[in-house]
Amino acid sequence: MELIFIPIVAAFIAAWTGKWSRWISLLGSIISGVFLLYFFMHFNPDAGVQWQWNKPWFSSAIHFHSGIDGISMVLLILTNVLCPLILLSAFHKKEDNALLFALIVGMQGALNGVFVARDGLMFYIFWELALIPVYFIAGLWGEGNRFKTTLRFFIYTFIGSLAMLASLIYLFSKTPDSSSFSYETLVAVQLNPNEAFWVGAGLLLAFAVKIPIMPFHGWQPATYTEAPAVGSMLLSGIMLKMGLYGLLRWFMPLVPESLPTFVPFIVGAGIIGILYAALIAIRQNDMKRIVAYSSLSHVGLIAAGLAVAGETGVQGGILQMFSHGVNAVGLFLAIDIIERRNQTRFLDALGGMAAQSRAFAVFFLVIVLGATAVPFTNGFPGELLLLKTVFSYHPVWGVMAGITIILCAVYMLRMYQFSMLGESKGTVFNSLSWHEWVSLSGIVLLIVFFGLFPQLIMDISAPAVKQLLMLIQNTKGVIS
Amino acid sequence: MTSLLILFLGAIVVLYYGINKPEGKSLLMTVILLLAALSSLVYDLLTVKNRNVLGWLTEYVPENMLIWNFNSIAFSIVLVLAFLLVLGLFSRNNHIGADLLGLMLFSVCGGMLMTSFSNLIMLFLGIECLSIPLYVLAGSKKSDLASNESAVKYFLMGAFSTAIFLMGCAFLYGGTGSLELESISRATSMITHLGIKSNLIFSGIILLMAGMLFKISAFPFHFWSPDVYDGSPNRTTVFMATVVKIAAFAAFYRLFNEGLGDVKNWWGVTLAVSAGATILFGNIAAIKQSSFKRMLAYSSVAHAGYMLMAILALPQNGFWALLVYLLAYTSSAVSVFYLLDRTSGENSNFSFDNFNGLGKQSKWLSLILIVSMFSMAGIPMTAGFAGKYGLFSSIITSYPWLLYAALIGSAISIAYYFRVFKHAFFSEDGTLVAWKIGTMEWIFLALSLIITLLVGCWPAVITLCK
Repeated sequence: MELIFIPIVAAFIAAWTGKWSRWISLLGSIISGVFLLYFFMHFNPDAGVQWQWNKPWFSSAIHFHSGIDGISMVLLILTNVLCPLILLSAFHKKEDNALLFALIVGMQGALNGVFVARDGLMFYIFWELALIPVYFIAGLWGEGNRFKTTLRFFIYTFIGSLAMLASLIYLFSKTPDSSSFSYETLVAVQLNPNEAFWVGAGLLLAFAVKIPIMPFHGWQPATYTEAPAVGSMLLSGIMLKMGLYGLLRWFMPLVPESLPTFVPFIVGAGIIGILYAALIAIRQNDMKRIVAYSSLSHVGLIAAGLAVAGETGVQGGILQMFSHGVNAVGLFLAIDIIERRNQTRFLDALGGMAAQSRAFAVFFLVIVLGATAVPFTNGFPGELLLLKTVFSYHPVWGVMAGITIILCAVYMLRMYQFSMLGESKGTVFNSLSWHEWVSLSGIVLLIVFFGLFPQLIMDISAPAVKQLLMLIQNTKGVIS
Repeated sequence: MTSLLILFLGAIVVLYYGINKPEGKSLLMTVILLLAALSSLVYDLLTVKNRNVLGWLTEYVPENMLIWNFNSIAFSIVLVLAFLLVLGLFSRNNHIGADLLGLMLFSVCGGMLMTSFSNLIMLFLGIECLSIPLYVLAGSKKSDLASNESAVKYFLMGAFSTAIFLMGCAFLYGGTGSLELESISRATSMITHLGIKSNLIFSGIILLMAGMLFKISAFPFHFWSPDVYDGSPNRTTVFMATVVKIAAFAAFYRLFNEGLGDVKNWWGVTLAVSAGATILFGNIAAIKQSSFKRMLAYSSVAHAGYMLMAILALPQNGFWALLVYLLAYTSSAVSVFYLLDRTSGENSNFSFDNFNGLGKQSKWLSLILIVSMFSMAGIPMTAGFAGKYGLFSSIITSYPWLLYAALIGSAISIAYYFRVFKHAFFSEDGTLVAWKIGTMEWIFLALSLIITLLVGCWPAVITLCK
C-alpha cells in the first residue's frame, strides 16, 4: 500500500517542480524503501502473506488487495534498492529533466504494485502502468530511431497484456458466480484441458514477451540499446523480473493443468535463447547491445529453471532474478559512465581506461565478474542451482545450458578487455563524481555480499516457494 | 420530462434571439439552460422510485410515449453532460449566427426523446428531431466545399437509413400488433416461449438493426461517417461523435437489449459479426490516415464497434458497461477534438504535423493529450480501460471470438493513437503557435480530465447512484 502510493505521489509532485524534481523523487524513493525496511524487519517468512490491505475497488469483484509474501519480498527489495540507485545514476541531468526523475519514481510505485498485487485485475493494472513510464523514458530521452523502437516495444508488450487480460477475465467468469478476481479464487478455478490451453497461452504470451523468451524477443535488443541508460536499467534490472515473477506467481498456479504442454516449450525456447543470444553477443561492438543480449541469455535460463517447477529451480530462479537485476543495472551504469566521458560506447573506439581510473576499473571488473557468475559473486549460486535443475530435467538441455557459462565469460571479458585494458585510443576518464561513487559502490557491495551469503535471500523466499509449489502440485493431483 | 421541456422551450428562445447575432449572450443562455436541465435530471435520478433496470415493466407506466426510468435518465444525463462539454470547449467562434446553438439544442431534445422513448413512433420522431438540425449544422461552413459535401452526404444517408428504420417499425407492428416497447417485448417473449418463428418480426428486427447501424456508423453501414466527420466544422464533428453517438446507442440499447432481448438468438450473431467487423475495419483503416481528424473519425467507427458489445450483453452488465464507455469516450474525445481544433488554427488542414512541439508549449495540455489518448486506447487508470473491461467481461462467455477481435483491434489502435505522441513530444521541430486558453475552456478541460481519471481510477463511483 504505502509502497505503491508514496512513489506515485512523489512522481506527481516531482513532475511539476522543475529543479527540485530530482531531490523529491529521491526522497519519495527512499521513503518507500524505508517502509519496506520496516516491513522487512517485522517480516516472518513462514507466516504466508503479510501486510495485507484489502478494499473493494472497481466493483465488489475487483479489490485493491495487496500483500507481501517471501517471493514478493525478494523482488520488492530488489526494486526499492535499485530504484534509488538508478535515480542517483541520472543525477547529473539537472536541467529540463524534471519529468525523467518523476517517471523513474513513478515506475517504482507501479513495480511495487505488480509485486504486491493479490488480485488479478489489480495485477493487470499495475502491469500496464509500469509500461507507461518506461515508454516515455525511452521515447523522450532515447537515441536513434526512438519513436519506432518504443512503439514496437509498446505494441509487443501491449498485445501480450491484452491476451493476459482476456485470460484473466475468462478465469474470472469461471469463478463461482463470477464473484471475485482474488488470487485464491482464481487459483481454485478448475479448467478442462482445452480451456486451460487457451487461458495458459494468453498468460504465457504476456510473460514471454516481457521476459523475453526467444521467439518473442523482437523488441528487446533495439529497445535496450536505444533507451537512455536509466531506461535500460529499469527495463533489464526490474521490468524483466515482472515477466519472470508473473510466470511463477500467476501462470504456473493459475493454469497448472496446462503445464505439461507448455513446460517443454519454455525450457526449450529458454535454452535455445541462451545460446542464440550468447553467440550474437560475442560479435557485438556496441557495449549496450552486448549487455542486452547477455540479458536475453540469462533470463532464458531463469525461465527454464522456474518452469521445471522444482524447489531447487524456483529458489535458484528467484536468487538469480535478484542477482541479474543488480548486475544488469551495474553493467548499464558502468557503460553509461564510460559513454558520458567518451561520447561513445563502441568497443573499437575505447581502450586503456583502467590506467586512468583504478577505482572505476575495480568496480567494473567486479560487476563483470558478477555477471559472468564467478564464485563468490552473486551470479554464481543462482546459476548453479538453475543449471542443476535443467540438467535433472533433461541432460541434453543441461549440457547446452552449461555452455552458456563459457560463452558468457567470453563476451563479458571481451567487453572488459577491449574497453578497459590495452592502449588508450584517445579516451579520457575524469574521476568519478559523488553520486557515481555511491551508486557503483552500492551495486558492488550487493554483488559481493550476496555472493558470500546467498542463503539470506533464499531464507526469505523458501517457505513461500514451498507453498506455491504445493499449490501447483495439488491442482495437478486433482486433475490426474 | 421537466428537463426536456426546459431544453425545448429554451431552444425556441435561443433560435429566435440568436439570428444574425454573435454567440456571446446566446451561449451563456444555452449553458444556463443545460445546467438547469442537468440539475433537473439529477433530481429525477435521485428520486426515481424503482431502480430496477427493467423498472418500466412494473412501476413505470409510460406516458406520452416516453418513459423516465433509471436507464433513460442516466443516458440523458450523459447526453446533456456531453453537450455541455462540447459547448464549453468550442465556444470561441464569435461569428454571426448564434441560431446554430438553437439548432443544437433541438438536436439534443431529439437525443433525449431517443434515450427515453417507450414507443417506436417516439423513437422515430427523436431520430428525425436529432438529425434534421444536424444536416444544417454539417453544412454550416457555407463557403467550404467539404462542408457542403458532408451536409448533402449526411442528408442522403440519414434520410435513407430513417426510411429503412421506419420500414422495420412497420414490419414489427405487423408482427406484434403494437408499437409500444413493452408490448413488443411481451409479444416477442411469448413467441419465443411458444417456439414460433415469425418472419414478419424477424425482417422487422433486421431492418431496425440496419437503420440503427447506419446511425451509429457501424460496419457495413459506416462508409458515410469519415467523409461527413472530416468535412463538417469541428464543433459539429465533435457533436456528432459524442452527443449523437450517445443518443443513438442509448436508443439502440433500449430497443434491442430491453425490448427485443428475448429473441436475441434471432439477431445476436448478426450484430456480433457486425461489431467484430466494425472494430477491425475501423482500427485498420485508422492506421493509414495522415489527417488527425480522419483518424479520429475512423477511431470513432472502431469505438462504435466496441460499444455494440454492450447491446449483446446481459441487461444489467450491458447497461453499466455502456454507460461507463460512453462517458469515457465522450470525455476523452471532447478534449482531443479541442486540441485538434486549436492546433489547426484557422486553416482546415488537420494533419498530425499540427501537433509538433505541443509538449514544449504546455505541461497541462500535454497531460490532457496523454490521458485522453490513453483513455481511447484503453490503458488502465483511465476511463477507457474501465469501459473496455466492462464490455469485455460482459460478453466473454457468450461471444469469445468477438473478444478476440476486440483485443486485436485494441492492439492495432496503439499504433495510431500513439502516433500523435511522436509529433507532440518526440519531434524536434516545434512550429506550434501558442494560443490563449480562456477560463471557461480551462474549466471544461479540467472537467473532462477529472471525469477520465476518476472513472478510470475508481469506476465504482458510477455505480454509487445505483
